[in-house]
Amino acid sequence: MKKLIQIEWIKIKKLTSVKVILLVYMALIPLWMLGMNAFFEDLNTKLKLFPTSETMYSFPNVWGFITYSASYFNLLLAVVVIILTTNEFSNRTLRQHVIDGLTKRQVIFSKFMVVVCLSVIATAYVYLVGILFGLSQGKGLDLYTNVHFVGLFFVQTLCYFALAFFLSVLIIRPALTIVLFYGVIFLESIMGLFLPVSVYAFLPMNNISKLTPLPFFKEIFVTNPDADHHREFYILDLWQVALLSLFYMMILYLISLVRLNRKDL
Amino acid sequence: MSDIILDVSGLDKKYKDVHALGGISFQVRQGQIFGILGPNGSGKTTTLAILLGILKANKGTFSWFGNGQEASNRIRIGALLETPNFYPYLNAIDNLRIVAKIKNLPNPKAAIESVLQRVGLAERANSKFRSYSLGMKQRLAIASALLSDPEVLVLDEPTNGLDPMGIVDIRRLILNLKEEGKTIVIASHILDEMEKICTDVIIMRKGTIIREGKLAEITQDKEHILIHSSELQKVKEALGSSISRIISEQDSWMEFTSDLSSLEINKKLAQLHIYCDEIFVKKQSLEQSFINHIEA
Repeated sequence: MKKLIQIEWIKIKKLTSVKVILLVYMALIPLWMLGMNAFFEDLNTKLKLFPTSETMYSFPNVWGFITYSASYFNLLLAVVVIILTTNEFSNRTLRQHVIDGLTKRQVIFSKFMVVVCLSVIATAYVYLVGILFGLSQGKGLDLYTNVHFVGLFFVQTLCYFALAFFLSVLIIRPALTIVLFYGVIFLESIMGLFLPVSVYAFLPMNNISKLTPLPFFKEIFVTNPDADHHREFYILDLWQVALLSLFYMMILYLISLVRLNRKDL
Repeated sequence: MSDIILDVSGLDKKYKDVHALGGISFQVRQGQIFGILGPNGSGKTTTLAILLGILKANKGTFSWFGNGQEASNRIRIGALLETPNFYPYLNAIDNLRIVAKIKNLPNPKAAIESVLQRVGLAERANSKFRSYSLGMKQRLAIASALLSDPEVLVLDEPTNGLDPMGIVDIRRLILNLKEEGKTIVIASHILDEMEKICTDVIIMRKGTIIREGKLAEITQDKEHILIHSSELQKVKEALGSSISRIISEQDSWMEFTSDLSSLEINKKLAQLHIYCDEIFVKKQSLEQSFINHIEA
């Protein structure tokens, strides 16, 4: 395992596109949080989501807000997984690794390790930014209340990356894979408009996105006449959503492994 | 203990519409420089790709070192298949560090320095792979194959993109490796080079082996017989169907292949009172032998 991680590290540390995406990711999350503040303050005045003494940055509100905000940028981080995986096909280095002595299973496992490491880094960063925003309110430190959102955020990154990896193995071409990655998510959202709520709630992308729900969702949408459309939120509770997401993640990795095993390189 | 390094039995590979390999079998023994010859599309690269684990055969088996098809066998093999495959944004050292990790080398730094020196890339060790010329890329691929000081080298067209000096260097390198007791499996179109280095060859055509054996045997498969006679027309009539193919004919000279030996031809002509000024056997080149087999 150590050997596989070391190999991946040699490849990643000098890849400029990955560095740029990571920097953009790290810059966008706090900027987005700052930008959302005005919107939620306005919303809070109307809907009284939390006491006026609190803000969206206050502990424990910050965990729901930061994970929800950062979840959109995971879609950007997934591009890193796509670049790293499709690079192996376009440079024919995956083929060379097998010639040199790795098994296809080791190749999949090494990419899975990269995905786990990226997810850990993203989650740790989100946790750190959450702490900094919370501390900026000057009301002490609360590392535990509602911190399960950070754990769910970790599961969500793993799941998005699993989809990115699966599509990369399937499509091989980077640009097409990126288009398809966003296409699948978009398509499923469109399907949500037509499918019965009881079906849509179980679809993979919808399910994965629900791991980091919009804070105070009920309070915001319950007065909305279109609220029926969002009933799917209440069919599964958060932990069932997490388990189902992990199931989808495993399926995606397994299909990737089978596909790669059967594929001539 | 058996000296068989590679045992291939009934290897068969079909693509959608193409039967790329039709159940080929051969063995490679310790210390051989084993050449795989054949025209484009004859199945050379497909054979090597299966043996190196990147293609799956539909039928048949192979075994490296008597250990079957274990991935760990490939750690003991240095291989270059078709094009050099490296990360374009990494330099030679980083690219080789990845190979060294895969091969579990205990002292990668020294091995990388030594191998880059050996292929003449030491001065460009820190340049990115994408900045290399075709010849330099090929040298790096050879360096990568040599990195772990493997027991077996598998090389597919190793002189691709190399200049004449580069080709000579590779030839010397291969012959040196043979001196060190290494086994080398090599596929190439450059028959002239193959003739200089191979000890054993197989000739492939349309996915089957049409000839295999020691290089010396194969180049003497069909003797080229040269006859010098003022009665060339009579010679041709006398030999009739014994002449397999006339290679060239000029004035009173004729070069041909025959099912008969030069001795038998001389005897037959003498019985018919046809006398030749000269008759001798010309050893054919591997290229000529290859063409004879492919055209047959």
